[in-house]
Formats: sequence, C-alpha cells, structure tokens
Amino acid sequence: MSYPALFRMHETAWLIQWLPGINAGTNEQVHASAKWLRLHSLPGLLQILPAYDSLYVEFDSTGILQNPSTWSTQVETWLQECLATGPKELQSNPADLVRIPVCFDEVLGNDLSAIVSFAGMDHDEITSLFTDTTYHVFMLGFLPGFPYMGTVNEKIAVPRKKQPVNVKTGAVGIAGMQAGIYPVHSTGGWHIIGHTPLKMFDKHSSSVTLLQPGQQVQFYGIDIHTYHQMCARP
Amino acid sequence: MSMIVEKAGLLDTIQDGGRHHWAHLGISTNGPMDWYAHELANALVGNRLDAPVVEMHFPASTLRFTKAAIISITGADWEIFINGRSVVFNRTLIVQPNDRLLIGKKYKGERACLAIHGKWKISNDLGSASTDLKSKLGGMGGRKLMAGDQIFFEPHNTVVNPASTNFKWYAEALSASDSIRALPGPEWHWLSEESKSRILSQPFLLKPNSDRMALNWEAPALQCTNADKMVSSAVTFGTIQLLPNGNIVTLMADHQTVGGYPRILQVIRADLPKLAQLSPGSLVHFQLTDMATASAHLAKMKSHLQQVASAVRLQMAFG
Repeated sequence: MSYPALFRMHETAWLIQWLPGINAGTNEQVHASAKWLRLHSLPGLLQILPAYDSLYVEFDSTGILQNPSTWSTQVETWLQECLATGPKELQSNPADLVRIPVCFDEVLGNDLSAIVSFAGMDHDEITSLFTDTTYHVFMLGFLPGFPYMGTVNEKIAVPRKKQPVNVKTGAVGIAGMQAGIYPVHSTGGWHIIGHTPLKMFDKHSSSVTLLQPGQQVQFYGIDIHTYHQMCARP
Repeated sequence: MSMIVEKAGLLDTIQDGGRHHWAHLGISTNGPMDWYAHELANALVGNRLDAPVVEMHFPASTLRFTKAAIISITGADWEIFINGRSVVFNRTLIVQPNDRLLIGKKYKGERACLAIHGKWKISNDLGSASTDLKSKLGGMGGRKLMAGDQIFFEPHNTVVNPASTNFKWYAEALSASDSIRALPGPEWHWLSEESKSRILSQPFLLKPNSDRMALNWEAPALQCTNADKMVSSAVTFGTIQLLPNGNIVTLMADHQTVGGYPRILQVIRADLPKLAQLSPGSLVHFQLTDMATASAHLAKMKSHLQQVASAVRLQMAFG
C-alpha cells in the first residue's frame, strides 16, 4: 500500500490515510493538507477532521444526488491536488505556541504520587520534565476542546489506568506518550499530573476552543494561590 | 404560538440537521437518530428539511399547543391522540388552539420526530439547534425537555385546507427485512477471514444498553489482527467498531468525533433509519454492499422526500 492513500468512508465522505503511526512529521502533513482544503474548499463541505495520521473529509448529499460519478471524481481530483501541493505550500508556516499554566499542588487531587512511583524520581524532577517539553497538538477529540498532545518524556510516560475514575475540569493528564487536558468533569483513565485554570472550551469565545490542532504547547507551573486567582477570572 | 410541555417524556430533545463544521475541535454532530423521519416530518409541514424537530423516545411528552398549528409525527409507529381523537403518523395534521398531543401505546419503533410548521424561536449554539446533552449545547439549554418548558414559534400566515390534510403521502416503507447493508470500513481487512464470513452470516442481537450514542450487539466474539496498531481516527454515524472483547458497536447520532477501535463496517445512509427504530431484542444480519448500490438507495429516499415536500407546499398557501 502506498501512502498517503484515499479511502471512500461512505456515500459522502473520504479518508486520507498517511503512513500509520504517531509522529509529528506525518501529523504536520495532515494539518497542512487540512489547511489547503479549507483554503480551496468545494461546495457542500461539512467537516474536515484531522487525526494523528489521517484526515476525514465529509460533504452534504447535494453532490452525490446531482451526479454520483462525476461528483466523486471531482472530489477525488481535488483531494489528490491537495496531497500534491498542500503540504509543500503550507508546511513552512511556524505553528502557534500556546503557554498553559498548570498547578501541580496535590491538594487539587492528582496522581503525582503514582507518577513518582512509576518514574522513580521526585515531584520536582517530574514536573520539570513535564514543563521542559514543547508539545505538539496532534488533534482534538473525545470531548470539545480535549487536545491529544505529544510527546511526553518517556521517563514520565505513565500508561493509562486500568479503570477510569472521575477527573475534574482542567485536569492535565498523561497516557503513555500522550498528554491531554480534560475540558469538563469527566471519567478518565489518564494519570493526572496537575490542573489548569484555563477554559479549554467556551462556545461564546471567538476561537471556541483554547487549542487548535497543529499548535504547540508549553506548560508552566503556578502555585495554588495563583491557580485559584486565575480560576476566579471571568 | 407556543408549545408547552405538560408532562415530560423519557428523552425528548430538539434536533435539527446537525452541528457541522466543528468536529476538528472535538464537537459532535448530534442531530436526529432517524434522518429520514426528521426530513419527512419537515416535508409534511412545509418546513426546510433540516429544520428543528422534537425527537421523542417512548414514553413521550404530553404537549399542548396554544394556537392552531400544522404538525406531523414520523418515524416510530405509536398511538397518537390529539385531544383524545386518534390520528395517524406520517401525515400532515392540524391542531386547534389548546389542543393536547398525547402518545398512547407503542406499536413499533423507538424514536419519533414531531415537526411544527414555522420558524422555531430557539437558540443555536455553533450554528445548530441540535442538542448535545454532554456538552450542554443547542435546543432547550442543551438538555432534554422538562415539564413546564415552552417553545415559541414566529407568527405566520400559512393556511392549509383542513379537507386536504388527508394527504396520501405514505412514507416509503422502509424495507422490513432484518438485513442491514454496509460498506467495508477502513479496517475491514484487519478481520480474520473467518470473522469476515461470520460477521456477514451470524445474527446480531440488539442489547438494551443501546442509546443515542451507540447500539451494542450480542453475538459470538469476532477476531482481528493488528488491533493494537489502531491509532485514533475519525468515526461517524453508522461506523461499526470492533471492541477488544470481540463485540461490535454501531455508532449513532451522539457519537464522539474520533475512536481508537478498528472500523470494520460502515452502515449505508439508507439503512440508518432502520437502525434507529430497532427495539432491544431485535435480531439483524449485516450484508456487504457497494457504493453504487448505497448511493442509489439514498437517492431514491431523498427523491421521495422532495416529492412529498413539493406536494405539501402546493397544498399550502403562504400569506
């Protein structure tokens, strides 16, 4: 099989599949392609949904009802043109960097002691390793505004819990090499390293979510006092 | 005109054509479980096909209309009373001021759509009135209807000749067979040959823990190779996933945007309404089909809806 490849998901949707796996290089191509498709959009587009190594593109049923074969060919030509020119055209743009405050204070209820056991290092070494990394936002999913980020330093890349538990809004979690942030109270299996006071999802804000796929993230530590102050801000 | 919820149903929510354009941010599409019932309900009352409706589960809400209104109820076949008078589903109906709509017995089907002619005065979130119960978006503050809720409509001058409300528009009878047609999913080739043949021959039993997010099925476990290689990727309404325990799950209206399980089949659009109406305990068989067949069936259903919509609009006089 040669990549990237086109797969017809259903009557009005296609999947572009790159070489399977989680790596930033492939994912940057996914986002560059998504950007190209948005810039050169076809009528009837409903979704352009990037994931780790694939891009889902969905249309309404107007095209397929008007002329099934012509329309399919038109879409596939457009997708092929994207793959030929998109990544080269747009990949050079530097990604936005977003800095996110995180409070590691255990009074908020986190899994730092479990991460300490896993890593065989102390609290400060672990939080330093966590904040020293620049994370790539591979995709959003699971909940509105929930980012799948990587790559967590392997020394603190603690795997998912066997059973999910309740996690609070703003919980910053680790699942192997991925990091994520829960936008709302949820059940979750990721080990929680800290909590952010920032809102990950706000339907009234112009960007709707704090993070967008393809961005870069750096975390910085804040104390519990600052955390509560930031939570209280409108 | 307004519609008042006198008694709340089990799960009645406002749904329109869906919340599109936001899946890349993790925001679900939601929308109706039965897209055909949704569009037919709107066609029968002269609304845009993607207009909001109340999607009802059983037992449904009891509703009262403060003024005369043109309504329809489609999808499930339930006993319907307007002010004690028995009426039929899949028809254009007229209600008079203070008429009460009540659902009686359930004959067949799990979800009904109630359409009301006119412009709904409800808020949209991110471009849609579809209810997202988890994220509290759309409809009635992102929740199901409760007793005391009042939904308002813009005034209009549409009239329908009461004599002509006996429209002979019959919903295209959805095939009664227990066969659900599907296209191969992106990970169809991960199934062992034995499992491929079993998934297309063994019956699947719908489990009671099915809901707007997914249908869960009972059947002998299937097997695939490579499942641990699966990396989260897009899923959609009708995607069938293979779980680690060998069971399959069909994703429905409230599905999440991405999933980490192999996508082995994709139910064709034409058969999604059938899935939406299955009651727990139903048995189905999955049948592999191709894109040409899938598109042809979709086109036939959409064409029927257009015919109903055109004919109803001819019968209506818009002031």
